[in-house]
Amino acid sequence: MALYTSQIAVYPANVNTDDVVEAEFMKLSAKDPEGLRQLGLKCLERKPTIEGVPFMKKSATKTDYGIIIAGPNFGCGSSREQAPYALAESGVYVIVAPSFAPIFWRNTFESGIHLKLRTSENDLTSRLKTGQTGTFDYDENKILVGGFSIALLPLSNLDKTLEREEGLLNYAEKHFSF
Amino acid sequence: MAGRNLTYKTLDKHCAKGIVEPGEAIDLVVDQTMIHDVTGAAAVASARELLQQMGKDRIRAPETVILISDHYVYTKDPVSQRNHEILAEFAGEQGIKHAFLVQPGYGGDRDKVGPSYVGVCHQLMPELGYVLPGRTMFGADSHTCTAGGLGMLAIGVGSTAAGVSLATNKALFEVPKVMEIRFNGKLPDHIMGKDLILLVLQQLTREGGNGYIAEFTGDALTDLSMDGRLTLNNMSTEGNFVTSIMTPDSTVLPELQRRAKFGFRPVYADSDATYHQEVVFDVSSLDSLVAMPHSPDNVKPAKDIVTKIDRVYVGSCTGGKREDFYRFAEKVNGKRVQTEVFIVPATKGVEHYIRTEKIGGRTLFEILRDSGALESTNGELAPAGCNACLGGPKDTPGYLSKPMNVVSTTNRNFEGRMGAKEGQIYLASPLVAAATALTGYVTDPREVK
Repeated sequence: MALYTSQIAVYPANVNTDDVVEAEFMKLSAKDPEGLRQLGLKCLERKPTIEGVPFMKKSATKTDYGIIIAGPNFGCGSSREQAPYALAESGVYVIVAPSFAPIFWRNTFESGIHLKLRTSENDLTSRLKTGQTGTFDYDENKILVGGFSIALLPLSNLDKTLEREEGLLNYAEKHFSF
Repeated sequence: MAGRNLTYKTLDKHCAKGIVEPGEAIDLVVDQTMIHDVTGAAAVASARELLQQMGKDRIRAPETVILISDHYVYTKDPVSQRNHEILAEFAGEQGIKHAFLVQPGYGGDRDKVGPSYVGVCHQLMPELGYVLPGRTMFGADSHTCTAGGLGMLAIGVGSTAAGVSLATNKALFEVPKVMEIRFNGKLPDHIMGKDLILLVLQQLTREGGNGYIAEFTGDALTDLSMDGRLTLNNMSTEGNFVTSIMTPDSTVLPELQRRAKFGFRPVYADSDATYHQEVVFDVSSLDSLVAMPHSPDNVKPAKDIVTKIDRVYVGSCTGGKREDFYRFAEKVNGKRVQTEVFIVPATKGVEHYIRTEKIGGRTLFEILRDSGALESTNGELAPAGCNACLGGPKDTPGYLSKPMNVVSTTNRNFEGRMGAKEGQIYLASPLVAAATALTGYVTDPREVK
């Protein structure tokens, strides 16, 4: 997908993986279809946007916000891989933040799900509002939002490899034979 | 070539290329993999998926895999119980003998967990000889870095990476930079491993470790016990370090030789080792530290905090080890606690220690009981395991069912981490926890004689 357009949700710094999927629901496995469905419904359930807007409308099964613009250190805390799965399942396609927590970042690329993570040079949250329309340009690696066109930082070779291979399992199948 | 640090010498020995460089992606040899009940089900699914893609039935080396029940144990919740069964089925199917799981059909019952159940993975593994210097480990848990305290390069990962490494003993790994964090000076008696890592978090912040592995060095660490070293390394993940490690010395090596489940050869940094960044702390006059709500890097000296505390929680991979209860019991010995207290041993081994280790002829258990520290748990210890450190199902022992101010020896104080979203969690050492339990306010242990 070259261009992806959606409403944006603006989130503060240090959104942790307990915020994304509360510990109670860590019992659910994202590899189980029913578990994954429930994880999507629980995503950011008690963590509204920076303006206090709920991530999902009452009784909705998907979020209206396919793009999350967040402050630094998104995904910190627990290593639960349920977090990126829940975000993808709830309908998020891309998260842009000045930095991500390392385990969350790796989990997202390794899992092979369609959630894209991109870093921006600066924190964009102060100049944007939840509900604005944003467009993520995959090929040009930039995001157009609130009248700005913001270039995103390039991925490392390893991240590009994992994105191209659609996850670590496909890489492992080719390279980790025994 | 410049001298190699401990991290890179360990990585060099675990990749075909021999000499690693920061920023490059390597195929890392993973000596052992650990998964537990709440990340394990997905890791098992990933491993099975990969085996299917490879056209294989069996994982490469079942003797290198460790399966542990610890997170959601004492709950009636059927989904949580199913996760333990998934691990048990996988152990049977693959012939994995290092399996420390609740027995089938235990129903969440403390008395029916069975003889194979031990408790919290990061305490179980060093206790039973799975944490060994010079080796590499992937663990599907962010606190896998705990093992760095004994010289192991242990990396916390998600379920996919854990599934791949448990099936193949390989990982795709981007080589981080290395930061030396040196602790100089004589370690004061009131300072524990917890204070040292809270100092690191205060000074470097929760993002200070981005892109780095931490190597802890310095003469102050020679005074640190085995448990203290595990605690120091346990929370390096809270600073976003990929992991952390320190050199094993005579404090730990003889004991590790005795316990070892696998062969090992310690790795030592070259005497002229270089680092990408060096941070030096003098800890000889360090105050006891506390992380205030709601972030592990929101750190202040205990003596500067005036907050009434409702509950003290002593437990977890961070603060539920032998030394943690010894120091807590020593402090409350002969006194009465003023708060609700939860005493939560990390493992059955730690529980046994509390019941048998003595101070002045009385067991730690008796000292704790007589101080009133067991009154909120009906005169008994809480059952060994992770319990309310991470909240979990609502019937978990110690779950914060209403908003309270809690001093906890655990590792995270995010909103809602132990249950109630409005709960205020203060992270501290067991000594601060004991002083606080005795006064009812956040208290520096030096203020209570």
